Amino acid sequence: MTLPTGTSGTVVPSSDGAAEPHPAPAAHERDSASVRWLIFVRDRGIFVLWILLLLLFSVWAAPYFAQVKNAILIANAASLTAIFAAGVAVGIICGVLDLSIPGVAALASCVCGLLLHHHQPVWMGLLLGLLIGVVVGLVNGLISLRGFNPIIVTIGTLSITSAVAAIIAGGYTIPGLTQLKFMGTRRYDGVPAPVWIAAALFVILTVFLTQTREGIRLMAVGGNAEAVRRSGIHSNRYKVVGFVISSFCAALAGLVTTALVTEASPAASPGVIFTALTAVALAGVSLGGGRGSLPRVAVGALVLATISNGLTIKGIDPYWGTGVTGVLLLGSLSLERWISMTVSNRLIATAQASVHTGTR
Amino acid sequence: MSTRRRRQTRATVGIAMVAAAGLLLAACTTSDGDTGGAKPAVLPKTLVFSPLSLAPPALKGLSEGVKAYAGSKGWEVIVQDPNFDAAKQTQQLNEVLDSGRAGAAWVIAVAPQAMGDTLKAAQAKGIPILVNGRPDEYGYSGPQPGITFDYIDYTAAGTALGEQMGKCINAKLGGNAAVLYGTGAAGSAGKNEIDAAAKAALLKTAPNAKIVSTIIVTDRAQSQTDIGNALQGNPNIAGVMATNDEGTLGALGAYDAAGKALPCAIDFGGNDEVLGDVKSGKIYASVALQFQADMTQSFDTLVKMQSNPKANGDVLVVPAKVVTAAG
Repeated sequence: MTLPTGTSGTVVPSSDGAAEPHPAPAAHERDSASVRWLIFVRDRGIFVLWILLLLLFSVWAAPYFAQVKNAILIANAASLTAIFAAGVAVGIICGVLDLSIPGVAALASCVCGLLLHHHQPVWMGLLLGLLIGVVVGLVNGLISLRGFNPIIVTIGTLSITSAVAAIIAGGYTIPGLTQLKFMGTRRYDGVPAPVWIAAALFVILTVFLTQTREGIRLMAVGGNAEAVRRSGIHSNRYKVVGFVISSFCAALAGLVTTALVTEASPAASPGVIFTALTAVALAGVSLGGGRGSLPRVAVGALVLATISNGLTIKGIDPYWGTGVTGVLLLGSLSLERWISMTVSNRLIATAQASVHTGTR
Repeated sequence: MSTRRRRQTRATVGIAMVAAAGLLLAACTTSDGDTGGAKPAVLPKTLVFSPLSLAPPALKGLSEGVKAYAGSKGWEVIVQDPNFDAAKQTQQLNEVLDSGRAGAAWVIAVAPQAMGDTLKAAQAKGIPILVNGRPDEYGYSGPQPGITFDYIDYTAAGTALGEQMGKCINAKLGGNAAVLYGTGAAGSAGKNEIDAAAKAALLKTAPNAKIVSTIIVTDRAQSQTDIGNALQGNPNIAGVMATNDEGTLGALGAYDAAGKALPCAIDFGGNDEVLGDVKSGKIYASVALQFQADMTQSFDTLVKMQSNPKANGDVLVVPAKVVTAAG
């Protein structure tokens, strides 16, 4: 008697109700291979998507797209989103969603702009701008630890920082900040400064999250704060660190934006959160915390910049870019969910088969 | 029922009665005010200024200008900040109109179609009101008692924008040029009118010029990025005309980053930075809205209306002027 098997190679009962062991080493290998492939798609799918987009636009938008000059443009456009997204991603990975990011960026920009406007040294403006990010992150973290919902807390600090930015700038923009061009439009070895800044930030944060004890713990806190606490680690401290990194990135992005347009603006643009969240979600960072990869977030930002660049080069109506991004986002979320469920089902089926038949 | 319980009950009933009496009194007072409907003998010299928001520097500047100008005429100015929220704007306006403090109101409406009740309330109380936009945007077919309309003529502005681009192309580029057009987001005020007029005027003034790329301008950094991308696809773009300052300034940044010169940059808006760039020759021309002149004509109209708030108000146009390096 042969035993019918499911499509995934699982054991199913025969018509007389008896189950027989399935001689399935080949099926087992096929299972493992398909699971490995699915996990590869989940973890590296964003890279595949980006490469596909690059190939598509290289053909469609020839000859202007596939040029080194254009690659630099894409990287430059992605760098700002990437810096914001790095902060959002680190926050989400450790279980906090920081909505104060636009306010912190505006405040850091205006404080720096005001100092430069009053002929203070550039280093002082930048340092104070970044320090503001750290302080706001600390405040967000410490308040949240007292049992307040982090989303509400950061909405509060978004309002406060936006208001303070508008007050210190008097409601006006501060133009003519050409002292910051060295980190805005200036190029080093042919690559614009924002790209170097984003690259340095991502390298530092990736090393921190993956190679240091503190970083690994920070990710663990996002996955299961209670388990981390029971293992004797001070989980609250890591949540505060998550807020601080998030705000620091926002302040840095605010300063880079200021350098790019040589103007400090007190207007906090909530749109930056959505763009950053899109890059983060495309990168497959779990919104539940505990799982995510910063290099993938960088590629998520590059995907957004590539779509915008390619469509603009082709002269396509800009509204299409927004729509395509939304479709990609929903598609990637659906794919991620489908893959996760399929992998889980197959692994469970394999485990059950192993338990009940002793063969697998 | 225990003595303590009876005391608590009596106290509760007492508080409820006092509260009810208070509400009744307040209702009567409000009712009196409403049914009276007649304008106060003398309207206070207090202007309520309600812009879209105070976040945009141009509106912040306008509010400061209104305060200074009205202050110099002996008026007090109450500045509101609806923060682009139509419901908040009407609520804030209704509150101040009901309070009796307002002697006149100047409103840059977030949603003109939502202003109907507020306008009627102002008319009923005899408080002159100036709103930005044309009568039809508020559901009227023409001038209305106690209401002055003040609008930007986007068709005229678009025509000036396209003409200036055409003139620049004819003068500097021999009449041939690829042009990038930076326009506002869908649904932004006057978008259809200014887009159509600018394109028609460009075609008429420089028939061989061609718009090869269009971008939506949201903010300066984004427009700088988008124009850089467009420049990659169309390296020959020699003219940029934008329907706002952020688009034109973003274009200058994009060309600067690309190490290229932009022979023809035309702007609509005319903030201080743009006017500085016009003077220095980086921007060929700006169709500059004359907010200072508009502010004085608007305020003076409101003051005039106070003497006869039942008369039909004016339909004003925000003055605009083409500014070039020559002046």
